[in-house]
Amino acid sequence: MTDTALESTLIAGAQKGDKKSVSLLVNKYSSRIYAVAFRLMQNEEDAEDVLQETFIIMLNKLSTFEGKSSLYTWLYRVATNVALGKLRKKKNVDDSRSFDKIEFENISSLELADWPDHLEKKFDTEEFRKCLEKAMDELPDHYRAVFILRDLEGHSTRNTAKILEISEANVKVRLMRARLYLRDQLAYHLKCVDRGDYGRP
Amino acid sequence: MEDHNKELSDILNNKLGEDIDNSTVQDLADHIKKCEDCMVDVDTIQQTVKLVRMGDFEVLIPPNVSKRLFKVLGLEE
Repeated sequence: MTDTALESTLIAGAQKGDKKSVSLLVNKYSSRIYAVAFRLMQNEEDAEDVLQETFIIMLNKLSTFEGKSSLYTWLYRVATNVALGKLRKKKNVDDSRSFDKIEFENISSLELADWPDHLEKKFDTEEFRKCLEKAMDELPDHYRAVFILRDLEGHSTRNTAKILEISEANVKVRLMRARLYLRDQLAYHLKCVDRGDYGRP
Repeated sequence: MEDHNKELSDILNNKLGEDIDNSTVQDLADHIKKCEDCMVDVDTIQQTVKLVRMGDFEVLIPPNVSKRLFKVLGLEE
């Protein structure tokens, strides 16, 4: 039996209330859903909440699943929506993290010099890792979600668009902005930018 | 070397990571080879993605998290 045929059988079984089929589906996808939840939420507790909510939704809605997309894509969509919803709520509560401070229109207007060789060695420093983490953390959620799905999880533009329910053009724009923002943060860290143009303290 | 073209550079960044399947992208690719600024632009973005991937450790679901999930769902592991 092929993977697709096996999955269809499991979904059909789960839709009829067969617990064994549900268990096998949960077992198959829970690690990947947890991974994307963790990357989006950036802590274990929230990632676990997203994981549990995603599979509770799966249990409740599976009877209406028509197989227009794969279950995997459908679960990713649910998980990212749950995660982004939680992040939005957090944003409202925690005013100290103002995502709006980033002026995306001005990104990449800086003059770049070529980066030094052997960046991987520089990457080993704690300071550089912190710079990367901070840059990722500062990215607005909808940009970070695209970057995570495309560049870290390896989804195609088309699949990312389906998961986030946005257009492919929107995926490309958000990905470009996320990459440029991260690049500029690293460039600043590497002191390769013309500080006069960048205007940072 | 050709003069840097910001408009081309923006299009290029939009296409980065996509299949090169049309003449516009091919024109861009030809331009990059001759434009130092574009070469730096492409190289630094590619390095950025590479560095972020290096820092992105594999996320594994902790056994206790998996156990709690099955319990919440009323399933046997």
